[in-house]
Amino acid sequence: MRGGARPAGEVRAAGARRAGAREARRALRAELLKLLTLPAVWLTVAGTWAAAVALAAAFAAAGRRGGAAAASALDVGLAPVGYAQAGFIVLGVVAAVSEYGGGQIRTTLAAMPRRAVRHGAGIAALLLVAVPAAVVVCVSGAAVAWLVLGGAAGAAGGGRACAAVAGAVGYLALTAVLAGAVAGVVRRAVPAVAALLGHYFIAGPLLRDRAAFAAWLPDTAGLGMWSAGGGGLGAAAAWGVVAAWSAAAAAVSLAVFVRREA
Amino acid sequence: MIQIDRLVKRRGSTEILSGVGFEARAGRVTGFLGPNGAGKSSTLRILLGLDRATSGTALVGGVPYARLRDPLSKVGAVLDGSGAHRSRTGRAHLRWVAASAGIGRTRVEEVLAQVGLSDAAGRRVGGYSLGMGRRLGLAAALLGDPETLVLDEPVNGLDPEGIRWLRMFLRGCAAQGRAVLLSSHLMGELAETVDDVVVIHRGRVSARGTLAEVTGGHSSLEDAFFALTGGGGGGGR
Repeated sequence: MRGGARPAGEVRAAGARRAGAREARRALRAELLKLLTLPAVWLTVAGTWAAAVALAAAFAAAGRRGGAAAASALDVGLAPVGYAQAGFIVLGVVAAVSEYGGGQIRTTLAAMPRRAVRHGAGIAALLLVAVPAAVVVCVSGAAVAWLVLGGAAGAAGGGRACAAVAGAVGYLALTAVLAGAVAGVVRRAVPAVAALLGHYFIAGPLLRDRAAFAAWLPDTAGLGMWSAGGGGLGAAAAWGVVAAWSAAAAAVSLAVFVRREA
Repeated sequence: MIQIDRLVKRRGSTEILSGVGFEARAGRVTGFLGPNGAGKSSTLRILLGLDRATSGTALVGGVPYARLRDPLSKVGAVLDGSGAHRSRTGRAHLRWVAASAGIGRTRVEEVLAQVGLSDAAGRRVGGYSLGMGRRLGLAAALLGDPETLVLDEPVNGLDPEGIRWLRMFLRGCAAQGRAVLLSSHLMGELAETVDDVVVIHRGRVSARGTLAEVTGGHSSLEDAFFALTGGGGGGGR
């Protein structure tokens, strides 16, 4: 509508879009503040980081003693990701379940009554916490392995190193989102953590070598994102499969959240 | 202004609300009275968009709660408990609520002072007494300087001094032109606070009007209440 006043409908629509964007920004800020002021979030991240660094040091020391043919510092340093995923599962569960302690969910819905906006903001805030946490965990694991192995380490090319670290970070963050979605449906921490750890640490590894479909499960497919051993899928396919699982879980939890009486 | 019209809520085969209707007008304190399980909380939860009605409407300023823009500036709601996670500090709780509405940190300190929690604001909510939790809930409700206040059983957990403070506070809110709706199953506390009364019993409104109209013919609001609700004592929720 050049050169004249815009029709009232168009002006209203633009105003509504602006109000919607402002509402989403505020919701994201609120959800991020919630996570950052929850002591359990910091404890989980710090504990996961400490465990990952200790494991990387132990794996590297063992590799050095064993004199195994030049495992790269990168592969050794990322090996703890298989264990660190437990920490990111707990992180997702803690974030989701904290809504249901002390009746906070009612405060949340009173402040942000449009549930899809609030749910999306919750997932975005979780990613904003999980991605930097995963970067710290993965990079410090690789750095510790490099320090311990010293000259004994085989070299990994810069490109492959970046792809592997990015894959590990993406895997951990998407796993946190998937765990948060499951916990948001279950609403209780212990059953959610038990079911998720049961899958990622017992059922998943058992199925991996026994069933072809296991290649498409989020844990085994995820190996293709970060593990030198791979999970049977290429890196791009692995990213796609894990992201699809997380997106599907988030969609289900959104559908439940929108319909449920709080 | 709150308008509730022919609200029906069924859960399974139980009818919890059977056509509840009333208004809470600006500048007045409306008492929503009934025994436990009469349907007070169910009505307020539908009003605040937490539960869905089977039929009927509950509007705030003519709009359902879930469609309000800037809801904290329209309605301040205090339901049971603090509404805060126990491991967060009172101040951190109010800050995220404020952030959701684009409200600044100075306002957080203002409402903390208003409810008398400034000194306890840095402590975790898990260490608060029942009364302090209620005050925190009220502080969150006040953040947006709302046109309407909705309080579910606000005197529960308050000591006599707290009840007196709340009573004067709510009168002050009404005097500023706000609509105040508060539910209670305690009559004595309410008689001195409310202008209008709505009595609910077994999911139906059994009386509504000004305090004088509802009390008329009885020696006190308490007597009127027991007469209207068949001797008190409620069924299940």
